[in-house]
Amino acid sequence: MSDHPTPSEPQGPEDEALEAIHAKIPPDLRVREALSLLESGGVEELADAPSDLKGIPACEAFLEQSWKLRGEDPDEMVRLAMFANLIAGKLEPEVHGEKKVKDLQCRAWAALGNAYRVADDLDAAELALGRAAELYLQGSRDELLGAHLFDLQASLFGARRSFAAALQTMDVVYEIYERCGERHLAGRALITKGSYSGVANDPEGAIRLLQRGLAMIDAGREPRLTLTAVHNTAFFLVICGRFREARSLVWQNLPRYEEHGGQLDRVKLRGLRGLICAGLGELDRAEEYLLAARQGFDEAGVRYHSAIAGLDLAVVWLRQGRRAEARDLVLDCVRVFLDLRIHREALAAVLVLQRAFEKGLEADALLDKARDFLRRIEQDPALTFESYFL
Amino acid sequence: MSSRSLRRVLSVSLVMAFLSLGSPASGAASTFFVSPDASFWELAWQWLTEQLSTTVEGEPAAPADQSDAGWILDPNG
Repeated sequence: MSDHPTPSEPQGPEDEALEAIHAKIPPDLRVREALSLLESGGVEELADAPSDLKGIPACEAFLEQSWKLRGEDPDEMVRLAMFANLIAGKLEPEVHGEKKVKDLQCRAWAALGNAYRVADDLDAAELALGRAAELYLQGSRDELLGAHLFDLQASLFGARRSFAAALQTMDVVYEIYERCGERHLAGRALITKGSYSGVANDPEGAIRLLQRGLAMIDAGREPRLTLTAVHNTAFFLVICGRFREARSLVWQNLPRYEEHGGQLDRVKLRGLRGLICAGLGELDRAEEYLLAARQGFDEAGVRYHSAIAGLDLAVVWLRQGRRAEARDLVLDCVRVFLDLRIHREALAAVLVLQRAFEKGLEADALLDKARDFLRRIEQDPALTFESYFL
Repeated sequence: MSSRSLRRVLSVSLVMAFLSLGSPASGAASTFFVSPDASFWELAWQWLTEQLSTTVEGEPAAPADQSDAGWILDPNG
């Protein structure tokens, strides 16, 4: 059986009657029905659906289901977006209208590009978003669709560590949504902008933007968005040294993580709680949380993050006087950085760290400095080893 | 035209014009939206792809699993 919906085989009377009934169903409801089949029975169930649920309704269902999996299952997110692209690519412009088809193909490629980014294939993401841009120009050039594309592009800039470009792109997105009267989407843009402002070394400005964004959004429309704003606010409170406020905010919102957070979101929650505990001097609990976060990142295949979490954990162990364990962990993390061919400047810091720990030097301060350097160079790729360490 | 070939035709002045689209408070971006037309979006995408091409060439590739900085969540996943 084909893995994606195909035109149905010749039908009997019962099938024809069913088709006639389905033909009277409004388009939105057809999408809901297609989505329901996809959620309950997967691709195979949708492949056996009546013909009027295939084509555009099936494509929309794949797009919606793929979107729901962000923060949960990157590989499945990509797979479902691919199905959407397969269907969109077969739509007949003579039947549906050329611009409508191009717009849907644009959305499908954009969804695939975003999914690739979430799955950490940034080169594929760039190609897919580039294809989406070409299709956008061939379609209706709807402003809101354009803003959506810019929004996804900003996330890719962020993943590439081009934070200045991400922030400038989000300024354009915000302006479009404000002008179109889309308050929720404008608030969403502020939340994204706030998040990247924070990692671009303005955590206090980030907190203000996140709060502004939270006040504008419709919480019921996109529950994970509220979670994103809350989580990132808590993280930037940690960066500002406001650990008790961060803890209080996290505690108040724990049910939100359970109800609306994906698997990776909950891994990041563990790491955040570990950083909070470390900041408050609760080192045993910090260790538990950071170990759990590291395991979660390992299971998700996110090695760089696992290594960064490892350095956070090594700092905790050093503070507990567990020098040998910290040393072995640091050297383990260093091997990951070397395998991943990290940025040259970061590599210099890592090699210095490796040498210090191999020689058994008192390297607590060096580890703190290296960890801070690795965090800062993610935010500012222009930072140099010489300027920071010497 | 592929996104990669778009980068090659982008002029410095065009890049600077788009880089000058700053904060929402300035409203500078609004001047581009008075009459959205084909040229704006083409220029916008050229600018975006140019931003992607300004990453340093020849550096070791950034690790593919740098999905975000620190522990933050992205609204787009």
